[in-house]
Amino acid sequence: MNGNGKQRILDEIDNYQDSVFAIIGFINFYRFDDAAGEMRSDVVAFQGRKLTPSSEKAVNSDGNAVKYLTPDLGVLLPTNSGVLGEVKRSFPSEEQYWFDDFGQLMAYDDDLLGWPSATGTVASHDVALIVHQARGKAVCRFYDKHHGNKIQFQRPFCIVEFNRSNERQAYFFFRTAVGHLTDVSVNAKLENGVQVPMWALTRAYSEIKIYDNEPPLAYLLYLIWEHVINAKASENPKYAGLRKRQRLGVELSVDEVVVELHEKFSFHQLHKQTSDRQPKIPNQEWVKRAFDRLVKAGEAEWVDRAEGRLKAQFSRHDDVLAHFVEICAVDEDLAGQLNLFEENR
Amino acid sequence: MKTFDFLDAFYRAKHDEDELLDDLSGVLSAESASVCLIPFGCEAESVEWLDDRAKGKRHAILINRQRRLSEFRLDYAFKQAGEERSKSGRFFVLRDPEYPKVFVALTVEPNEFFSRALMPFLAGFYPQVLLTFITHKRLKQLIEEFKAGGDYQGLIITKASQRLRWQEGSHLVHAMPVVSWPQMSLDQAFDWVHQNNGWFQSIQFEVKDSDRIVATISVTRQGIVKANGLLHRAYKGFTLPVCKTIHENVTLFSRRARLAHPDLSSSPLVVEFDTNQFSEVEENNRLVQAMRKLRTASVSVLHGNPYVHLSILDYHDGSTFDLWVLDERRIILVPQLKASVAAIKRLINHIFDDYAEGSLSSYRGVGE
Repeated sequence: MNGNGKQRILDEIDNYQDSVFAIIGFINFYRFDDAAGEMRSDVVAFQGRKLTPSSEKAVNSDGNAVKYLTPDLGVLLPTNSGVLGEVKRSFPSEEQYWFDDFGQLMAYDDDLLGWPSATGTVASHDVALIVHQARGKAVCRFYDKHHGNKIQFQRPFCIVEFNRSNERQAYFFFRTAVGHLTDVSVNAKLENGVQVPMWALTRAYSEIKIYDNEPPLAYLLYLIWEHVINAKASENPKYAGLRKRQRLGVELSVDEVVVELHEKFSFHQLHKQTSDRQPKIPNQEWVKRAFDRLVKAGEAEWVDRAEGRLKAQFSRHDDVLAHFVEICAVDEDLAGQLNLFEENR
Repeated sequence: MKTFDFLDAFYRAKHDEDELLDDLSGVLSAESASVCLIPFGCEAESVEWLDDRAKGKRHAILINRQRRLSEFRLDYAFKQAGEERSKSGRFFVLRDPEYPKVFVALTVEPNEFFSRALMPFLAGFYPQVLLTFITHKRLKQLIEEFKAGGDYQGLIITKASQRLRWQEGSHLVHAMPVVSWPQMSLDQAFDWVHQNNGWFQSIQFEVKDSDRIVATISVTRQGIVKANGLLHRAYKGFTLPVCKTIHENVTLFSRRARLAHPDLSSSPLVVEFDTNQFSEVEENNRLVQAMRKLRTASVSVLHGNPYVHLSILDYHDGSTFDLWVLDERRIILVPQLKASVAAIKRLINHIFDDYAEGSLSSYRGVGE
């Protein structure tokens, strides 16, 4: 193992967490009432909600039917207006693929159905791209270059850059780079740039660990192991006396993991009143892949793969995350070697 | 010449919760003995469940019980010079009058009973039985108040054991260079340990009144007191405040698990330092290294620089936590779905023992 695989996985986990933090930070510009010093009860926020496109946009540019759109974030204001946004911690290195990302955002520029309002619609909404500052300038240039021809928005569109500080007081910084938001107060804040101290959102950061984007496998395995398998194992009277290399069988199912992580570590708490169009996160396929990796690592065996039932062999790891990063890094390094082999053929 | 056995007479007599300290003081004045007081917290409001319970080669039998006071016999076996030996001793457990889940175990038996039998027996019931810890600052304050309250001429430190935490360019140091404790004032001794990034594991001092030594008292970081005199004063000056600390900590650490709340919300705790503890980035690494020393736990580093985010799993009962450092002065500890009082106490205890001491409070985020 050369260590690059491990570092790459750790970077991916970091990026994934930053995306979660950015979603939380952005929606709180709308949810938090500065004057009252509390969360507004009349603002509804959502993550990964399934919105139905209008008939004009029900087929994408490739000719494929689009059943749902699932923006990274959405905000419904009491004025029956809203915001839909997509958070991009990273962009592909080749710009030609950026049209796909803008295509996704342009799909949100539509009379979508399924908003958590009484009618399922809104009178108007903004579209926002929340992009990491490292790519912000390049993305803005790309937008400026293609705006009006390949990239077109009818509704207010803006690009908001975000960055995490490297100072001792950790904060997320947000600033509008292009365009504007309709909400005057939020727009004014973001035009000047806002620092969101991370300590202020520690609870949310600890309670929400996944969103509707597949997390790095090592991170998902860590979440499953520490918060589902460990929790079940700890109900066994033998748990406390378990020695370092001893194992404890724990039966669990894909559905069980989905429910546990969804209810306890996703944006689920935001959707309790508006859960109708909210998919369960993590989705079953992600969990099944994680189970497969546990089986491959010899830390579990399938009881019934078709039914998604697994028997994990719980044991004590000194550093659960590092353990799974190491396991997944083997896959990364192997994939890297295979690529080299393919290139040299 | 046959001498009168005061201890035997003491054990044969019936004791009352209000007069136990008087009775024990009577033994102290007649015998060359010490009373040991061990304050602890418990999940239950009674210690009857200790009756007929065994831990290793130690077995307790409840002999008497009346209201807040229980008397036990503890049989224990051990090896000495290759031979198996067995002995017995007695101890009392007094429930705190104010805090129903806080108790004090008392014994007048010799040191051997304390170290071979009673302490391992009680510690073996973790997490049902919880000992506490008192901070360096608080220990100093208690000793100062004890001195002022009795208007004693002097307190002379005769023995002390201390632990020094990790320091730049060195490993954890457990031994103390030669320091002549009796020549040091309380202030000097406490400052010396504090400046060397450490804390007293125990401190023993003689209490002088009119040039006469009236008692030798020792107090440990766990709030355990041994006294060969001034028992009432030691109980009032050290044991009762420690009982209060136990109660306050149990209250502060209770219902912190997310599962304890219908909306699964978290109830974080904050360890706040007097100074800008994390003004240098290197401090993050020191904290991470210190946390990795937590035994019977998994410590995962999700982020180490510039902010700290750890995920901690306690293998004693499966409790889990997120630990964050997001500014210069605070550690924020977020108990996850399951977080027992014992696990929270163990974690805080570890931070204070192995990293640095701060003050504890409930976290308040923006708009809370």
